[in-house]
Amino acid sequence: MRLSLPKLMAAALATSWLLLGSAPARAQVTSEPSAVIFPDPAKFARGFFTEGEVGAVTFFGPASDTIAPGFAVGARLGYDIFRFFALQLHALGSTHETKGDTPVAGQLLQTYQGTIEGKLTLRFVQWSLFAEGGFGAARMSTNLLYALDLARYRTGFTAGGGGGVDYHSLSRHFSIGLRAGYFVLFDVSSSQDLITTAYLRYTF
Amino acid sequence: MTENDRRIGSLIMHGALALLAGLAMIGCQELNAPLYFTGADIVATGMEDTPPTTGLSLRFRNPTDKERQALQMQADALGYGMDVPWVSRDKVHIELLYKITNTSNRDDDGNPVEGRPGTFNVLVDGATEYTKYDYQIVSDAIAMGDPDEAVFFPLMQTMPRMLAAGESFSGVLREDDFDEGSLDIDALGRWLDADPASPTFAGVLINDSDVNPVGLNLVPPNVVLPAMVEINVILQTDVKSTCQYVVRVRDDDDRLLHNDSDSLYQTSPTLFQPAVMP
Repeated sequence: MRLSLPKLMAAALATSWLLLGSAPARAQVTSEPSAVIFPDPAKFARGFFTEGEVGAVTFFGPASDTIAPGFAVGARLGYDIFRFFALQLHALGSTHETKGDTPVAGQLLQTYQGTIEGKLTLRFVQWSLFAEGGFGAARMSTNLLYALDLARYRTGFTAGGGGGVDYHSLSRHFSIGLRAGYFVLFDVSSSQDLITTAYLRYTF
Repeated sequence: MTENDRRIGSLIMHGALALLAGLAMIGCQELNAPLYFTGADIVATGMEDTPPTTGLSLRFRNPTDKERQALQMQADALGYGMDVPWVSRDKVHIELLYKITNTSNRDDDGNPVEGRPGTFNVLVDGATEYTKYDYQIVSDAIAMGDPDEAVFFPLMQTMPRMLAAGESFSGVLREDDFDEGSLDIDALGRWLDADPASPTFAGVLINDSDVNPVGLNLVPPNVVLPAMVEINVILQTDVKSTCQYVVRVRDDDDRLLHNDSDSLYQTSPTLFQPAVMP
């Protein structure tokens, strides 16, 4: 269909108001986007923290002949002085059964260990590796080790260290992890204990 | 930090503190953890006329003035005219853990020899703070009255068992066995019926008081019984054997002597001797 000139002019006039009514166009100014940091450091809380842990305590040395590995529960309270270093207080209790062929085989014994520890952390994104060590006291609930000629006193000095791996949930406060520590029990006739636990950490 | 995070953090903090407090409390009280006292090993040749024995005395601290007053008040309240024992059965719980080994397959130097099976029985005598019981003295006293009568009444004993050469057996005389022994020895010491026809002597030793309280007619129902402060273990066997044993004590009120600042509670129990019937 071919439009006549008068009709074409009329159509141009009828649509020209659409163009006249539009806002003036302006150029958009943008800057180069900043690099994305993952994970966001803001997602890692730092400062006071608590940990609850469950696991096992296994004795080594002469004590291992008469004391079976036992269930352990513990807690830590600490403070991140730097991102890579923290100080923490650790309390752990474990329960054990005596074994062997002595008259006291089958008896229950609890150990309580309290230590002050330093902790070094190396973080890889959500994961971190850590090493820690400290000293403190270990106490036995009974004099069973004395009866077995393994210890003179129920309370003794302990020191040692270990390490573990931590996984952060990126929920800012929570992380979970596994750790192991090897401690010398100076008053239990050259014996040591290995503490292996899984923990949940909350940083305030 | 969201409100939810704060709540969870608070929960964890309180949980950790509760755990620490719990551990500290357990550390202080230690759930009434027992203490263990090792007795000297008993070595038997199997041919003894008198079975070999060793024993041990438990050492307790003296009560404080306040504790003495409490004992006196308790005695007044009970009203049966006797002292309340400081080392009482409801506060001091005793158990004997033993292990017997038939050593007939070894000579005195430890060299292997041909062994033989044998039977054993572990007997226990002892004393409370009031009364001492020695089955040998009792047996001798009865034999004086009637030499043909072989009477053998230990305070407590295990079941006789057979052991092959080189074999071992571990066993326990439990707290309730010692409870019964404490009742028996107190019945004989403080509540003995003087009537010669009374069955107190043999009656209490032979019968379990829960099953048959024969011979306990003078024992007040509200009596506070003394616990044993001396435990003597006797190994009766017909073959060369050894007995290792450990006495386990739960001490509810911390009455065992373990502080240098406390003084020893001295006891002088009276030896029980049965009336000899002509």
